[in-house]
Amino acid sequence: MRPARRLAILALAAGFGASCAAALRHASPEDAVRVAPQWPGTTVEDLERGRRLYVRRCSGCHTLFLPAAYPKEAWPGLVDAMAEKARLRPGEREDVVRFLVAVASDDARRAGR
Amino acid sequence: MKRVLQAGLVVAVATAPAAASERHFTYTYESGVLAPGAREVEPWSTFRLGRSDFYSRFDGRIETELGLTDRLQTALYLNLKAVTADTPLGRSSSTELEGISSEWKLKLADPVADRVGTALYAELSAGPSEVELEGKLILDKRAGRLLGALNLVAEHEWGFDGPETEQETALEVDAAACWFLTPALTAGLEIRSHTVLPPGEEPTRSALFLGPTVSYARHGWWVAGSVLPQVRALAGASDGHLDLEEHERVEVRVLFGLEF
Repeated sequence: MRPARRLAILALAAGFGASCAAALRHASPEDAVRVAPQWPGTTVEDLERGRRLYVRRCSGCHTLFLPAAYPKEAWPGLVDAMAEKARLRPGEREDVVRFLVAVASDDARRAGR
Repeated sequence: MKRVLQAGLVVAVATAPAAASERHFTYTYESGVLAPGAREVEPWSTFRLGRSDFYSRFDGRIETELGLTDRLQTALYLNLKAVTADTPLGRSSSTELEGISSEWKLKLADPVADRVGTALYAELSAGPSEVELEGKLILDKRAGRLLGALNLVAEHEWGFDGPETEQETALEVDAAACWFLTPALTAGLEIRSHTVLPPGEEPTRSALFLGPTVSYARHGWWVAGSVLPQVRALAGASDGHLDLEEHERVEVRVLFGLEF
């Protein structure tokens, strides 16, 4: 097989593998229900707003962490520590924390933690 | 105990070495852009050694990057070149200021949040003897401790050395993958295919480079280095299985990044 063809196959395989890997998932109605005791009236749109802010503001300073990377209790402190650098206003900080806590809770539940 | 753990996590993440702009590879770009208002200076050093006759070249670039929006960054480069080579008249050395470059990078998707990180990149270089336009499609993916990236690159050059303008097109495919040994330290492999398509009757020359790459990052700075020997000519072999007319036996590149 010609080297160029081998290289192309390798690149395609890498691309396919990458496309199958986990991405930061979007919020679901179940997520909104799950965080309702802590944040009454939360909607999927609220959580999605937090996701957008997390991706846009936080990825400028570091590689994003998936919510399950840390216990849900840790996220408020983590976001507080970086909110100023990420130019998150208080309401935006709340949106980011709410999204991360909602998804981290669900991921931990699925993993049986 | 829980509070101690939380405090530890805060410190660990707040001082995490990862920065969106840090490079883990030296030729292959990743999709990240600097945060709005963030600035970084990056000195580049590239050594290219060995052609059919003696050839030693050093390319130095000083890059200043600036984050403009959540998705867009720009950069300005100052480019220098020093070459020592054997010619029919003997060994000669020259050093020249090649010119300046303006880079623009637009991030379209994130390598963690989306299935594949994606960015578009354009760079315009201009100097006393040439103008060059370069475009890249950047794809990357971070999955756990594994990071992979793929770039498709096209560049076109207009040279003004002779009485007539000379044009040359080059195509490049860069791919790389690394493993995070620690959050700060990565080790991996980088592969680069570079093809020069000269105008007219001159033959196409293409070479494949493959070698190790390492990177290390701390808060506020990072360094990445690679050694890429040419493993074979894909077209226009001139010396056994290598192309030593247009390409070198080995390329060594070291990049630094410093926030300021």
